Amino acid sequence: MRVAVIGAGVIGLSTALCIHEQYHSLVPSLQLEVYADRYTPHTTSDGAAGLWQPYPSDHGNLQETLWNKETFDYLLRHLGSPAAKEMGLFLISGYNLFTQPVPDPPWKNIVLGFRNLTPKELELFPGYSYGWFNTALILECRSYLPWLTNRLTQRGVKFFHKKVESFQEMFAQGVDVVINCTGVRAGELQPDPELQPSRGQVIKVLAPWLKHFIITHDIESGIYNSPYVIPGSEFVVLGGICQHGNWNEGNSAQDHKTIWESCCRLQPALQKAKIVEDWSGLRPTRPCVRLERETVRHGHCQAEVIHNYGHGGFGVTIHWGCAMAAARLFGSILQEKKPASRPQPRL
Amino acid sequence: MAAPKVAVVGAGIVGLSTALCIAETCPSCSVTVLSDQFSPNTTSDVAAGMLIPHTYPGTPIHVQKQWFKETFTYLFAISNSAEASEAGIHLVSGYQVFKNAPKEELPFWSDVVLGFRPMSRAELQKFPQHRFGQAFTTLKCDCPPYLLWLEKRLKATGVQMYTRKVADLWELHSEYNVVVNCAGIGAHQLVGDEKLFPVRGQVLKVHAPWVKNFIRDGDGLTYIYPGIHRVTLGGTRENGSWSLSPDPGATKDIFDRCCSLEPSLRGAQDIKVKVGLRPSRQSVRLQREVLSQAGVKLPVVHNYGHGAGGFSMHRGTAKEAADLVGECVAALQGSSSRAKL
Repeated sequence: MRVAVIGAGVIGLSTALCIHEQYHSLVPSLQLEVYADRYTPHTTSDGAAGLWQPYPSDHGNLQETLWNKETFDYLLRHLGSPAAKEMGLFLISGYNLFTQPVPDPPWKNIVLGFRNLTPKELELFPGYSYGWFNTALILECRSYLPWLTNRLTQRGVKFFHKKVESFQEMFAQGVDVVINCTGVRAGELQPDPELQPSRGQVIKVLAPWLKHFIITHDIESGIYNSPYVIPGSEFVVLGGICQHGNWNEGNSAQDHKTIWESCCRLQPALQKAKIVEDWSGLRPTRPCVRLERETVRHGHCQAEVIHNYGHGGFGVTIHWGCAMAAARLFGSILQEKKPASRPQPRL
Repeated sequence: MAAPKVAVVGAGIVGLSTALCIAETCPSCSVTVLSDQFSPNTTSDVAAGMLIPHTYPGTPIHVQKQWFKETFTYLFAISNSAEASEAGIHLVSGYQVFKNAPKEELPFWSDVVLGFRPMSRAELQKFPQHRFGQAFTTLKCDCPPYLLWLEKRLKATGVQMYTRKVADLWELHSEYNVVVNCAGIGAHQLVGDEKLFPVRGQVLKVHAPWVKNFIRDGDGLTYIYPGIHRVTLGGTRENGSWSLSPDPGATKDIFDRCCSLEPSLRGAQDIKVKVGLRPSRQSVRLQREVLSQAGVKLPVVHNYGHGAGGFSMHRGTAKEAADLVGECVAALQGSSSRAKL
């Protein structure tokens, strides 16, 4: 059974690993392949700071909140393991800042030590009158994606550097199931008007004295359009740009200025930080994640596609929950193909 | 009297911050720092510089709390300014964990640090050998940066600094009007204080930039303090040991204890070993004394014996010492004007 994962960002690679871990012993003929035209460090995931944090509100989408929780718990379990450093995984505490009181987020009991900010803490952030403190995780994709790649390579998964032009192209080659993890460019394989880019730009700086993340929120500007500062293991990521509908992957001098000025206002000590480089990427935004099966006609046969794209600015945050959900969909495909013998996937 | 000449002996955190406070409160004074060691070779350079107080059994708690509050407030303002990175002052959050119930649920400093609260059960799960814990945010003073920043501020106010080993405070009587003794562990020999004793501390300074939070065992022996470029792993508390040589057995023991609190430290690189002698005493000696020989008097202000709490108390004790220097200067000016009569 040939399974092709299209896309090698955090979603593609983690979905591939999840499926292989659960099914390779149950399906001896399982042949997993990854196809992508961009690999780490050139994927959208590579530019993300990698902070685990969903949006402040889930707008009632409990499914996504559950996937976020599954991801957090999965990563938390790996914290104490020797692999954590190689994965680019570590704990970090920090601040979410608001100009007015807001309801607690749906993830308040998922993260560690969630609480409101004290008046003295708010003195650190003039202009903000309300906020949260909590401890969460960072998963740096420039380490995580190579780690996933190594695990997959050890398992015999093959990688192909190739731009796939259509699902049919895969089926014509003999692929039985396609896992569509193509992120912002999923529309090129199958039109999806609900999928839009939300362009982001960040400045990577050297500011190793910063140990906390600081995320500001401005109801009017919208999510990610307000300054944020996220210290990584090597660089600090400064951001605050989210341009819906903008496909431009190049860096903008105006956006650089916006980020720099607003972050220095937030953290005056940043004025002394050394700027390393700018980076831009396109968040694959959608009203909700597309995670579903689709049966596609291929000549006289039926072939299966599992879609797993549209994770917006929270791909790292939600990735493992989605990978497991995609693996369950794969399990249901297997069950339908062989009704006589019922494989019992490990859940 | 023309500009009173004040000598500060010692250039660790207490000496430099005391000199700065004197220069700030007594602009007419001419202040000079004398020390046989300057950063990066002081005891302060070995310490992690965390603002987590050590309790002195011989000093009233309200006094310690005042010293700590002064220090915290002063550094908090710097950490929030454009100078933070140069001064080496930064906020850091983390956990203090206990295997057994702590003596006091709320230490005297719990309302000075930020966001002090008990750890949640989920947070304690990361520490299977510990049953209680406190979470809070405090400040860290990285050395050498903080000491170098203090030296820069001192030079800007006209304070001179000289490398000089002072063998006896009296040797300064002809050059200076007031002497301030911030010699730290050096006071044992300098003034023969038998109540001052070393508590030897060995630490490892390692490269582990993914460690963003501090972890401290409430017994004070094992701690992980992330600094700007290095993480300080500790430590030891050896009463009465004067040895400044690193002990390889202690290095391994410290590393293992810290890795059991934070397993990812196994991947730490470039381990450097340092040793410092905490200048320990039942209470900080913060008082005036007048030395006299053959009718000649030399006012002295002592400010030493901060033990494990130098960073936590430095600004508060420096201010009090500066006030005492002011009293000495006033007394000298009073007696000199009486002499003119």
